[in-house]
Amino acid sequence: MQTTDRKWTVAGGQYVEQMKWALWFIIIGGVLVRGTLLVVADRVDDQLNEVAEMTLLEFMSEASTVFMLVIGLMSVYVFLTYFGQNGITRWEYFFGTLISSIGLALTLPIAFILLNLVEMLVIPWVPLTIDVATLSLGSAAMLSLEYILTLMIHFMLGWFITIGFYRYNWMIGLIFIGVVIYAGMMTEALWDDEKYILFGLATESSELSLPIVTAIAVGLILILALVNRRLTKDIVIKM
Amino acid sequence: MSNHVQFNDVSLTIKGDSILKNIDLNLEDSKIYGLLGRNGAGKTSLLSLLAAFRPVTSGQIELNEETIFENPNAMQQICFSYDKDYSDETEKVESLLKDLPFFRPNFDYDYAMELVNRFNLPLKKPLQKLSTGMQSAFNVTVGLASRCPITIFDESYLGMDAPTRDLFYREILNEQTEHPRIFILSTHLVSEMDHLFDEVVMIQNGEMLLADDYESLMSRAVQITGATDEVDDLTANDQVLNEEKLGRTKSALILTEQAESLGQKAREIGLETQQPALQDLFIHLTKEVDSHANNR
Repeated sequence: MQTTDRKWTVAGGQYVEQMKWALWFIIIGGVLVRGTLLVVADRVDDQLNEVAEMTLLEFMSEASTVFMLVIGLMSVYVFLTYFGQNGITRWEYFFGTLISSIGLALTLPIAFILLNLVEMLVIPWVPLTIDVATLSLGSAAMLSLEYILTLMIHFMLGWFITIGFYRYNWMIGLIFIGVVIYAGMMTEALWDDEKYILFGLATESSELSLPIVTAIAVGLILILALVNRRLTKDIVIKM
Repeated sequence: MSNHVQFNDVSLTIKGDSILKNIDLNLEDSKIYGLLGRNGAGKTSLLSLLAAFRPVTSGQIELNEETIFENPNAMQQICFSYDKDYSDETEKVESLLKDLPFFRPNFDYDYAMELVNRFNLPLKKPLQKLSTGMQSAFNVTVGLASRCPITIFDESYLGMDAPTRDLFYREILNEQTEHPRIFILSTHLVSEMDHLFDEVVMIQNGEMLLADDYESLMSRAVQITGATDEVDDLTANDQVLNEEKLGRTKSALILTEQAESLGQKAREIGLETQQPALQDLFIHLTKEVDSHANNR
């Protein structure tokens, strides 16, 4: 194995492993939970009609951010220790983790759009009386952009927390969690209609145009990437 | 290509504690090094620096004149096998072994399977479900079959029964004949493993105590036994590592460059001489350092 290729293979290996977990998430969340809730909304509980008012892509957005946060949280303890103990450099690990997370953040919305299309094809053949929201090309594109950026931010935040615990100790780890709660609320402020004022850094999202929101989100991802790289550059591999 | 490792003035400090101090050490190709030291001496810390698990505080560690830390070419050539905690490892033995060729370019899968058979390792069982001895056998299998130019075993035989350890020792010697490399064996089982060592490295309280080839070290040691007065007279100017008295008889363990001539003189005046074991030297050398430390 040429060592110059290793960082890409590390990225591929992590992506494949994370996609195995994502497959469970997609099937359970996008098929089983979504299907069950639609049936329950239709037959049992009208209060669940809001599930039908959302497209599958919208329905999975909250859960996807939590999924990416968890994947980020697992990154260091699962992969850094394993790779580090097997002679992979910290740079190769960082590069591989970053690339695989970008791959995952791109794959999830694509998977949900495809699943959404399948749902739209299947719904007419299923005896449901409620109307299920359909996905338009425009909203799919808009939502995908939001997806990719928020998923990346949540992955980076999860990664950041776990680096704090791994590199330092649980007390400093808790400080990392505090930083993430603040950054997470700022992220929410970018996309939600609610108003957040945190040390004057974020305001109502409606005041921000899409290019500015995108630029802020990309900036946040880059800052987190730089911080995570700095923190893992000379990190001690646990034995 | 001949590999060599150099520690140049290496120190390690963790949270204000000085763990290793100014270590200078050269490791040469095709030799088996026995790394000895008492508990807390800094053996594992030294090895974790070599394997780039942590950065040095000061100094350099180089493989063939290249810094090891964060150097992919160097890091993939160092395999560090130790007593790992596998309580969370749900992967099966077979699957873990199949992943290794990616990390270790010299990994020999057929040889790994041969070792799996010899150690009776169950391929289809998750590692967490293996006994401690079996987990050690897995570590040893990975270390041997990886055929890394620098192969480190840090107490990785813990939990192995005596016949399995014997098998491990034979495999090391066999590998050294067929695929020579730098082996580093860190151990407390000195008397059981000393026949493997080409070189002996001893560290104490984070400092280098001794680094010498096994034959040369042993040739400098002699145990002289006889009448107390005669032994005292003969060894008055030598470094006595240990003395034991029984009535008017005394036994002295001496470490000196003139051990051969001293032994000869002892025999000429009717004293008994004996070649001490490495374990005795280790015990008394490290004990001596302690007593000096206590006197300070």
